Amino acid sequence: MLQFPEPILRLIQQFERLPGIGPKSAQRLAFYVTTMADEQVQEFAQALLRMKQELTICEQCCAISDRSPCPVCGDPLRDRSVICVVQDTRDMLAIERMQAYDGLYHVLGGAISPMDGIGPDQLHLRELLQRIANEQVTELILATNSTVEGEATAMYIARLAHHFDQLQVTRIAHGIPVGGDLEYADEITLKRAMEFRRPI
Amino acid sequence: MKIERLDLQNFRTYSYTSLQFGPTLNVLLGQNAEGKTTILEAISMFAYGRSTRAKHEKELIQFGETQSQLRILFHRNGKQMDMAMKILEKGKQIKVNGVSKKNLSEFLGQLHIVFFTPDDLQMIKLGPDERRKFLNLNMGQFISGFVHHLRTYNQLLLQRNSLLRMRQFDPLPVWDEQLSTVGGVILSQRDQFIQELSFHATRIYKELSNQKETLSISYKTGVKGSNEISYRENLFEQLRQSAHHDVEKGFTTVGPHRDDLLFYLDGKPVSRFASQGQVRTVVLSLKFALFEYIREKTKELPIVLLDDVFSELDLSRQKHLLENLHGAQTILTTTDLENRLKANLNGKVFKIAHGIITVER
Ligand SMILES: Nc1ncnc2c1ncn2[C@@H]1O[C@H](COP(=O)(O)OP(=O)(O)O)[C@@H](O)[C@H]1O
Ligand SMILES: [Mg+2]
Ligand SMILES: [Zn+2]
Repeated sequence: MLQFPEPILRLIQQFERLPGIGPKSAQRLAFYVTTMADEQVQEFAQALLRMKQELTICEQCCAISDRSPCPVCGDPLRDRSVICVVQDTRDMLAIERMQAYDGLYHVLGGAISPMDGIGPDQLHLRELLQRIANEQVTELILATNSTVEGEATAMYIARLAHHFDQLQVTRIAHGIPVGGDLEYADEITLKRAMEFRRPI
Repeated sequence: MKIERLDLQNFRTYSYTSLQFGPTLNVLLGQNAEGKTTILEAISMFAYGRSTRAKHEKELIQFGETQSQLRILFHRNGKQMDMAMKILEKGKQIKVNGVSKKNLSEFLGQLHIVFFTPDDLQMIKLGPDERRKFLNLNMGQFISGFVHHLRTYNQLLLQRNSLLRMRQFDPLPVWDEQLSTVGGVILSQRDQFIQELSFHATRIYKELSNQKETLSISYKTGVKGSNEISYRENLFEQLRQSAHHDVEKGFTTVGPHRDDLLFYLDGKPVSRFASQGQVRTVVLSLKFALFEYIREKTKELPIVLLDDVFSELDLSRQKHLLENLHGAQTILTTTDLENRLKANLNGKVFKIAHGIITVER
């Protein structure tokens, strides 16, 4: 049987390592690369390498950034008394996009999941505790995902945070998306929205 | 509730088939392994959200194909419903009235069935797994959020068991807290459901057995409690207390995943003392009780699916069955239409052979 030429096979295997890409897509991508102009392929390869070389982890909030401290931590106008705790850098960017939060962040780099061997020590938790101990933090907003792992992580942090007086710990609300029609919200979301209702 | 049409594509033995059901009785007639149960299985997928006999959903896809599609049209409270399901090798997609739904919780609760199968008899004799499956599938049909809670609970349990195997005690409370919150809901809903079911079952058994014995069904759980709050609080406390024991065992020994459903005739366990005939009547009573429960809750008659069980019943039970369905739409499978069965039947007959269905009358 005719095999893929070795160089293509090598590339297919690399593509297959990416999330959401199965063997079929990997083959399609690899063959597409054969049709690309040389300089395009150069650019592509360079982009991959440079991304890894030029990225760093912010020494304060642990976000992935091109500099440390990252633009948020380095901004003198941010409110340094509030820290919003998120699972990954994408969550932080999502909150930044809404342009309504002016505190700082802390990126955990995941959520506690014993099944996957991720415990508190695998997350950037020690860094968070140091920040709370050394800086004038008065509020911790726990914005981990609403999965069971995200909830467990939030609860774990809340328990640790009890050791600090003067520190208020809050959990973001989960509920009906704005502009969302009540009729089309699923029952779980509705139930949560009812649970976390607030006086107006 | 009435099913009008069922379309199957690449579903097990069916490449393509479309059935139009009659309003009351529908008979699927065919030899063994021709695809009768498959039709009932397809309908049940819309009520349970999953197959009762496939271990992996991709088994449902016809050999050699990559995806399968099912669609059902039915009336519910006078409203026309259209549900569709696409089964892929990895996962499935679901639609209600043309709108895609992300999770099963939004899909379940539309179609309600009572499914009688020959396997029901084993439910009494075998281990608690089958009885929990009965509870889970049927409660998932109309208790909103139940399936979601069950999934969440199982995920939490996997996480807690991983911690136990690593002999880590410190992080347990954050898992126990969530486990007991979800577990408390499951426990109280099961408790409530079984109480209501038991009430109907006792009455029905009396009718079926001509007042001979008294059937009682009870909920067996290792968790103390009587409502959501007490179940939640006690489960949390019991999880805490069993932590060391659980670490030794390597799994969580307390919680709704250990629940059971117990059947007694005049106070004696059915699993040990009942005759084959009594077991059959117990199961029949349980299914009828479910029928009554759904009728009461939804103010509508559920769809009744009878897989190979009708012809096994004696004449008086057959009569009782048909009379007590109050005209509910019924779909039954059988290998032969004996005369006495035929006399009772007044409906549509579908002949099934080699994955092809023809309407006989
Ligand atoms: N994925 C599949 N593709 C094709 N045929 C299948 C598949 N799964 C099961 N079958 C066939 O379906 C038949 C079983 O159908 P079933 O509905 O249980 O029959 P019946 O209830 O009439 O005895 C068997 O012939 C089996 O080989
Ligand atoms: Mg069968
Ligand atoms: Zn930073």
